[in-house]
Amino acid sequence: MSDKFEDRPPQPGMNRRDFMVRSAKAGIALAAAGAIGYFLHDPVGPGAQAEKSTLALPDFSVPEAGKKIAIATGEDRIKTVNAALGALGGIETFIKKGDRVLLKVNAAFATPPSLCATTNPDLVAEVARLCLKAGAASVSVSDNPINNPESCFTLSGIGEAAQNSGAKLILPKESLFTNISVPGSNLIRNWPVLSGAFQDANKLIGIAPVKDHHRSGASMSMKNWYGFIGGRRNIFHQDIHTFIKDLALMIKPTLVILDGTFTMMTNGPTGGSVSDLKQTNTMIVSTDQVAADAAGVALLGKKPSDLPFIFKAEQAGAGTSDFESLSPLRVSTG
Amino acid sequence: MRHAGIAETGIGIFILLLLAGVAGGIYIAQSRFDPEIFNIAVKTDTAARKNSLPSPSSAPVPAFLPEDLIPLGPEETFDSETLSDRIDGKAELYTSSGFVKLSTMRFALKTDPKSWMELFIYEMGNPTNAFSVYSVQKRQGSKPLSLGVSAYATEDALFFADGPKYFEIISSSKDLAEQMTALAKNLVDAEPKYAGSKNESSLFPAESLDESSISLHLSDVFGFSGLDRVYTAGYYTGDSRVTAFISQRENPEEAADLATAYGRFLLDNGGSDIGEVPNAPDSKIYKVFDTYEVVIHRGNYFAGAHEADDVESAVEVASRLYSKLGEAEQ
Repeated sequence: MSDKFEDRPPQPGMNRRDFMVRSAKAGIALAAAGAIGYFLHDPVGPGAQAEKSTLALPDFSVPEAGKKIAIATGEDRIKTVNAALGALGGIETFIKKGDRVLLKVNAAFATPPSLCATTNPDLVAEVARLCLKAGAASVSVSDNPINNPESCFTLSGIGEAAQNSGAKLILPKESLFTNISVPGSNLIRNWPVLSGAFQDANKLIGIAPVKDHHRSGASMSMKNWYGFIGGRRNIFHQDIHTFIKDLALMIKPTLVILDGTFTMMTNGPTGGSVSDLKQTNTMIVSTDQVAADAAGVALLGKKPSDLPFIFKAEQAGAGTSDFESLSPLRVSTG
Repeated sequence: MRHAGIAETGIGIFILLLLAGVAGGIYIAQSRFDPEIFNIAVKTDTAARKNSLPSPSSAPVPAFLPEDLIPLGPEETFDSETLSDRIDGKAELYTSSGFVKLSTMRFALKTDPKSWMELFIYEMGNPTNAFSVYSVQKRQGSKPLSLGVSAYATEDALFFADGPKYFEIISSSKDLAEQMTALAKNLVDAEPKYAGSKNESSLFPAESLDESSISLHLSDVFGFSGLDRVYTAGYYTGDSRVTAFISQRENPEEAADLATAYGRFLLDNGGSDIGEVPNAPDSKIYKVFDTYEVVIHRGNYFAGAHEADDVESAVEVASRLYSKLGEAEQ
């Protein structure tokens, strides 16, 4: 081995022994740096909660009901939602005696019902009433609003409507959130979700208005599940289309009800005036949330292809954007 | 010259491979967004929404409040980090336009606390930013409001820009117009007076101009990321409505370069070059699907007509604009 160095000029001050010593020192320094890094590594991350548990949310769909969609037209929400549900076989097709129903409303803002930035309270009351009439043991109404929850449920009229119709209001208390990861999701990983609202429910109905949305282009059925998310969820606006797809993977609803009686055409999702609204006289009820949104987007003067989240949700297997393939049942209430 | 031996070469290669492996690991870790890292506890979230629905008597009375209104809660404030806690997805509209702070407060009628309104005051840093967010959200069919500042009213709300602030007053019913107007007047009176600075919007030719339509777009104008600080205005020409635009640039070269870049953008997005505007050197007319776009530049100004339904209307408006820009040059 010493022969290898014989034909090369010796380096002043460096011999094999020096080299080995220096190499050993370098190795020790490297190992020490690695050990310090390992010691300082924080597997939880800055500001993060330790994972309480990772669970999948229940599947609330009714497989025997199949994939269906009904589109009712008319000025009166109560009539159109009844007509659309009737076309699908009635609420009894989905809600059975003893069911515990959770209604996910959009109560995001502390704004009056006239602005249509939130789910219409009369519609909430009617759906709650229909569920109870079908034999539901309980009906709950919940959302984790953008603004203060008490203010939102009060000023939107949803709180009063829920209580008057016999439904229970579930406010988003901290204890109701659990960290979950959604299989197949890009973004919902070990993230707080309002899972406590689901705890006693075996059926889930989403009720959302049709709105313009500055970031995603539209807020409809799938975006409505955003209200189940906790934490600093505004970071998801950076990749909103992927996030809405993830929401559609997270929730498998019994039904979605998309209220396009008035559509917020501009300045969404908050709106701010009745001038942002257009009377579009449409109520969409579907077991397929992607199909419902694909049908609803026309009310905003857009096509499904204008909204990447619809394509992404379809690609992920959350439903079909070709709602016509479900042979929509179209009814008019005159 | 000394050559490295096999052992040294081997160690060197090993260290380089190790560093490459570390770099690769960092790249993979960074490319996989993990929201957990940003997972600020729910406790923090609820703290951001600490205000519960207050009783009418619990908040101090602001000096600008008309006598027939009472506070329906304390003032809430939001910065750029928390703005989306208040207005969700619309926050970006403001944060991309110089947003500094939002203050909100609700008021109710003394005689009927169920009749309420909410005041939003957006501090936008300067009058240009405030006018921009005011103008781009303007509601169709609204009525001008005489407040001495840019203002309009809808059935249930008032919107106005005063200096570096943009105001919204949104009511729970259509019966509060009188109280909203009184509140707005008090707010304008309480603000320092700003001398309106002249800008390129004064160069829109007056004939058939819809003055209420003048808007300022600060970024990504017409979907083109290279286009910023553009004033637009609506013109009625016969049955058509044409949107004219003007943007003042630093120098004539920048205006010309922008015209070229925007033209290329139109061509890249399905447009075709179909000619020039008579008597407007270096102008271009593009057909983009079923609409027409005219692009001109003169002096420091980049201008034109946007998404016109017919080419004649687009050329007519652009020609008048070109002449007006010539007057500005002199």
